[in-house]
Amino acid sequence: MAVKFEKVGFEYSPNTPFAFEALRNINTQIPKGKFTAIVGATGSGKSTLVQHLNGLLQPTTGKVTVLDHELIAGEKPKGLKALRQRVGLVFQFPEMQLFDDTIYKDVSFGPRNFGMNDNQIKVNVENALNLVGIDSELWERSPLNLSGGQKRRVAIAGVLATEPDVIVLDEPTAGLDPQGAKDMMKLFEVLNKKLNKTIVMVTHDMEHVLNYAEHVIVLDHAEIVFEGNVKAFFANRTLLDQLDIVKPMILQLHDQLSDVGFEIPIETDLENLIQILAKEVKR
Amino acid sequence: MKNIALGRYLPLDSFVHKLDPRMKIMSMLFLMVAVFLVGGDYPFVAYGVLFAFLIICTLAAKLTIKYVIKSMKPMIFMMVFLTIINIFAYKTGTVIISIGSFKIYSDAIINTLFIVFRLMLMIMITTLLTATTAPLDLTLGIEDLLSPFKKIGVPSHEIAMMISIALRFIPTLIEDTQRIMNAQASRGVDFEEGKLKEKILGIVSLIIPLFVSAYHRAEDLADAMEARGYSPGKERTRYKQLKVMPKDVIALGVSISMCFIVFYIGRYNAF
Repeated sequence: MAVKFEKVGFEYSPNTPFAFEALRNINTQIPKGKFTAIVGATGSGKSTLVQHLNGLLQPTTGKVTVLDHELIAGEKPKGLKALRQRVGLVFQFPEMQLFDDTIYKDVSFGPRNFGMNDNQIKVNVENALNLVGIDSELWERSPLNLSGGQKRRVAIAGVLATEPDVIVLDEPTAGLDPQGAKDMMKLFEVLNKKLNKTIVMVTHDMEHVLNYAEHVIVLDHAEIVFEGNVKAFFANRTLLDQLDIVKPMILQLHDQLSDVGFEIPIETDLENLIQILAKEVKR
Repeated sequence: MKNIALGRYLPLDSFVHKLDPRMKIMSMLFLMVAVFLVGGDYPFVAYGVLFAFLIICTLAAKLTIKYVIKSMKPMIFMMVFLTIINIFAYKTGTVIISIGSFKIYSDAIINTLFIVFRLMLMIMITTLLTATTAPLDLTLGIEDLLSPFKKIGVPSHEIAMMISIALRFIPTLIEDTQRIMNAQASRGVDFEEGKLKEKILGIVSLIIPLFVSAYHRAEDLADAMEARGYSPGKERTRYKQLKVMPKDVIALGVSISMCFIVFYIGRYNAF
């Protein structure tokens, strides 16, 4: 297990008129090497939850174990810097964090902070920029003059260059055009499948959950209401209805087909569905 | 970042919260004047009276003493700084402590106390105003109070609009700051510990994105305002109408009397 939450609660500004309970009695695990999606309505506590993964927030009750680091309520955390290198967090609209005068320098900011040597920094930065698909002729340009999608790629490269084992993404495709979003998701798939990174992604997009995630955690009003694999999640009709989750297109199609009398298994791949359907029709 | 108490509005339900913002601003001005009018032979008695009055007001506004103390925290550095300056600057009165050739005089102590008291009272007064008045009401009040000066060319509406925009964006900027700090902390910046050079680089990595986003927001807001036909200096009506009630007049009256009482006590000590 990459992450383990035990009876975790979190409250913003405790003991003030602004006190707000963002997480309540969270018990869950995030499997190592898998692609986990965290879904839930706005304000359900998703972003608060992921900020525990690299110790930006410490639980107000309970205990979080990330890799071999422990965050225990009421105790001063140790080794946060080491933890933050191993768990890379990409915030919503990460392009906001760009600041240096060239793309190359901005991406090397993280590795430098974590005390890597010059050689390693060079290798990591070049790898990260190639991975996200930023041409080497752009590397000496200012990150602030890029397009929105490119800026986001540079910002993500800035996190990848620190070589984290776990990559946490908070709505990484928000505000991107469909093609840009798809390319972005493909990148995360490569990170997960080829480079064996544990991916934790907060998202509202059920298509992405269906197509890329293996494990799903659902939050509602500061509590976990579901966890399990993707198939089980989309098969749980009562939960989907209760949370007003719009089903992915392919599942909607499946529902409509079964309404008109087709008896076919739930299939998430369009090609496969077409083949099954073709067989059904022939029969 | 989220714990800054000074200047923050606390949406509670109290008598002080419901007063007309214009009267509240006037009252606060009179109380501030009172702080500076204190003089004569019994200044500390006068400060004591004013202090007691402000404590009563604070409690009437349902604010806690703890909150008021918290709002003074940012000023502690200032107070310490002034104390040190005073101890070095004043060379009159009797010597109280002498360490080698360095002497601390009685006037220095008295003056320091004076300044610290003044600062404390000022903070209490402003906290009382800002914690009980919603920012928008505050700017409405300022606009109304400045409107008589329109005739001599004071752009009261523009000033009020600028203040309300500035106030409106404080929480947004704090949020942005927090966000960028989190993002950079995730990239290994240590804002609390670490070497000086690292800290400075860390602050640069915070300030540049903050400026970029602030400019973006400013541009967006200007576009949105123009798109809706905003043009400064035009006559406009208002959704929210301020109305002076008897209790507002009484509150102002009490503040003005307080101003005189404090002045009188300082001179002649009525007790």
